[in-house]
Amino acid sequence: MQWGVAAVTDRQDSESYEKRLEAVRPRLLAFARLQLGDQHTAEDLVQDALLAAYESLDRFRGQAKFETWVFGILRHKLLDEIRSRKRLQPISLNQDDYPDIEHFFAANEMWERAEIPQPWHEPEQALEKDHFWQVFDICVFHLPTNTARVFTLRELLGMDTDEICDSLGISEQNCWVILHRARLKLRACLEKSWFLNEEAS
Amino acid sequence: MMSCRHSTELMSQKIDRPLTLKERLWLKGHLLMCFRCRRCDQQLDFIHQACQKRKEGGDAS
Repeated sequence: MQWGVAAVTDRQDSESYEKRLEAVRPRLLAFARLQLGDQHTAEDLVQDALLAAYESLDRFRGQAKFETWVFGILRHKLLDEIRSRKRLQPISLNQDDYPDIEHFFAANEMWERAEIPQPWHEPEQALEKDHFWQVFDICVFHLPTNTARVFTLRELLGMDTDEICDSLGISEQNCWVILHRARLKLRACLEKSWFLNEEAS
Repeated sequence: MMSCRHSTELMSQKIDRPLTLKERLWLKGHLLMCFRCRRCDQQLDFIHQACQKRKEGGDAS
C-alpha cells in the first residue's frame, strides 16, 4: 500500500486516512492497555494519540510506514504517562509469567532437532511491510502478559532494564530471564508465522 | 562449553547489558563452533534492530 505525499489535502485521501487511523485503533489500544493495565486511561491515551496523528497528517510525508508513524506518537504519550507515574502497577511473578522454553532444548542443553533456528529469507524486506508488524504484534501478545509487558517496555518503548525493574518492582536478574525467554519465543513465532510461511512473504 | 541454552542466555543479555570478558569469550567460542546458535544470534540481533528502526521510524516524522 502506497500513500501519496501531498495528497493529504485531497478530500478523498483525507477520508481514507481517517479509515486507516480507525483501523489501527484496536492495536494501539491493546498495546496501551498492556502497559497501563487500566482500560479508561488506555482509551484516553489512544484517543489523544489518534487526534494528534489526525491533526498532524500534513507532517506525515510517507517516509515512514503509516502505522509506524502513528505508533510513534502513541509511544511518546505512553512514555510520558509511565514516567509521570514513577512506579507502574508492580508485578508479582509466578511460574506462569515465564514463557516455557524447555521444549527448545534437549536434555543435554543443545537445540532440540525440531526447534533448530532455520535460515530467514531476506529479513530486511519484511520490515517494509505493515503485515509483518501485524504478525510481530500478534507474536508479542501471545507471550504471557507480564512477559509481553517487560518486552514491550524494553524493545518498543526503549526503556533500559534498570528503569523497567524500578517501575515494575522486579530484580534486574528477573528482567534478563524474562527478556531471554521472550526473545526466544518471539524468534520461534516469527519464524513459523512469517519467515517459513510463504504466503505471508 | 556445549550448552546452547546458556549461549542463548548470553546472546540475549548482551542486548541489555555489557557482558563480562569471561562471558564474551565463552559466547564467542561457542558461536564459532555452533552454526545453530550463530543463526539464532543473528536473528535475535535482527529482532532488536527491527524494534529500533520501528521506534526511529515513528520518531522521524
